[in-house]
Amino acid sequence: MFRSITIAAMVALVALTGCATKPQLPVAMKTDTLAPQVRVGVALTAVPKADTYLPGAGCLLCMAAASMANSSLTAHTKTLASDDLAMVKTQVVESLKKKGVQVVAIDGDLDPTKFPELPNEPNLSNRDYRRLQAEYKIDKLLIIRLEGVGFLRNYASYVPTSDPRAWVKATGYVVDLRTNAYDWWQPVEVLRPAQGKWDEPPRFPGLTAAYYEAIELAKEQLVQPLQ
Amino acid sequence: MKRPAWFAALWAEHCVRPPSWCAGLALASLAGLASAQSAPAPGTAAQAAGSTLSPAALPQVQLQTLAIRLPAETLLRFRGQSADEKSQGAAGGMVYPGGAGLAGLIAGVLTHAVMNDSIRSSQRKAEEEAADAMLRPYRPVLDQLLCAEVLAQAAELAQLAQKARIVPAQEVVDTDWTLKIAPVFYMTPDQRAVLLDADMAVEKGIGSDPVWRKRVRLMSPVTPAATTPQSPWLDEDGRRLRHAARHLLSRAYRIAMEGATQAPVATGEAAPERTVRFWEGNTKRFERGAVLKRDDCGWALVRNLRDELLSVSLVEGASMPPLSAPGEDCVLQEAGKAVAPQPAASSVPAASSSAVATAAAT
Repeated sequence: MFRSITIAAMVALVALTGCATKPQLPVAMKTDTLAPQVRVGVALTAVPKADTYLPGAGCLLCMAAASMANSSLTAHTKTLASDDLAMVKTQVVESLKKKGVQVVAIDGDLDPTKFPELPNEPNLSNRDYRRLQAEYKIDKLLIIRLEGVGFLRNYASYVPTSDPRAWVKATGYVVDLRTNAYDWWQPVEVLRPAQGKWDEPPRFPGLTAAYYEAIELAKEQLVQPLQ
Repeated sequence: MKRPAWFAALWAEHCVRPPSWCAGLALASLAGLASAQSAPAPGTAAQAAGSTLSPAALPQVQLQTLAIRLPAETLLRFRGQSADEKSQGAAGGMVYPGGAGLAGLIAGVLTHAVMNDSIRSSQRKAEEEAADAMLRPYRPVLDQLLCAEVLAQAAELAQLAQKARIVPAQEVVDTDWTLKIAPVFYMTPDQRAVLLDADMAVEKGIGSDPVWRKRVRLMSPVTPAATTPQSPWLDEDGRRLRHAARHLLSRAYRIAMEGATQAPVATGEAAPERTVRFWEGNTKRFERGAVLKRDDCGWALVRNLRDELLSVSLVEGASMPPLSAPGEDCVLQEAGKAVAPQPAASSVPAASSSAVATAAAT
């Protein structure tokens, strides 16, 4: 009996923890990362389209009910421009230039999935960006990864447990192209509520203002460590 | 602008309560109009229509009248601005009872919704009470700020183009314009600035629909750094706090009357929307809107997405929040060092500054 319980506990332990990938923890900017003699490439991933996110509406029926309840907000969200986020690349380049760093702006949107995959290891990049080292003659690559922008509203099954809030998620990181190690890893997540009431269809002015505020705050949080 | 029209415009702009030199300007403008037959300035069409005007036949130029209606309250409403936003965030989850059927599920969902509303409502109330508690040290001064008194002082300070008087809420008046205002003042969480939120409506004539109706939000300049945040407001029997209330109201009057009497082009209605960054006390805030008008010291008039008007100092215009209000001599706060502003009582609005300069030139 005792053996059976032990085996069951071990199976449960392996099942629960065996496949989990450790999330990358923040890495503080190393002192020599942005030294004047270092050539740094700056790249930005594609700017995501604004959307609504309804975490917590778990079951299929819950998701359908939540989507229906927020349909006018979703329709409005899809009309919002997220181009302001792309300005972060220019801001990063300017900040680094002010510090005397030799900066090279990488053209176009960077798609990490188009680079060879590497094994997941803490504080090491899981993509091999070395071909950019030769192409742009750079030592380090600073990537701003834009992960999501729009509105987030928490649900517990069928019931909203929060008002919708403007949401931006991004990560800024520097990969040393010689060692593939992260010299900096900074996740940024901004949530801003509407000032006053939020439910003002069809233009949702309070939430729209919060949306643009969240974009500015996210840019500020990404650029600040580089100043 | 030709000389007669220029004189007339000058008169119309600056001679709210005409001193003797204003009367001279009026006569000069009318005489000039009669002789030169030039295009009339606004408000002088009637005079320009007559080709042979003699001083005896000159019609009296009447100032338009304005009634500013008192709000229902006796004292100005002051509140603390809440910095906490927990009530707008997430409330609690809930596990629904299993095996209760569809009716049980619906009952569970409804109970959950009621609980969430109740939690957020009580959080909001607690936040507001905590913010209002900040005002306790200011109560001795705030309890002396009578609406009738401060609104009248603000009308005098505003130097409007109309002859303004304060009237009780229910009094029937026969004025050219009526201005209704519902002001609420907020102390910012850092207690460095006061902001005025006011619903305003301007009616032309008696009992007409408003020709202009908006909510305006105006920010006071920040106080200089002090040992306690209350002392700059409360020193000298609360002189700065009283002045801030008067000055904010006077700016609100000017915005309302300019909005009601000027064409949309003149008030910059076609400006493009963008995200602006401004000071709220010593804190940077963002707002999406159009910059309608820029003033010195980084101050600007912004129309936000709710069509409200904000008079704020933009962060781009100044690296630190200004210590002076729009229209006053610009005093900027230096980084890490507070510069003492000029005494509030000696500050002069822009309109009167330009009037003095013009008078000297004339």
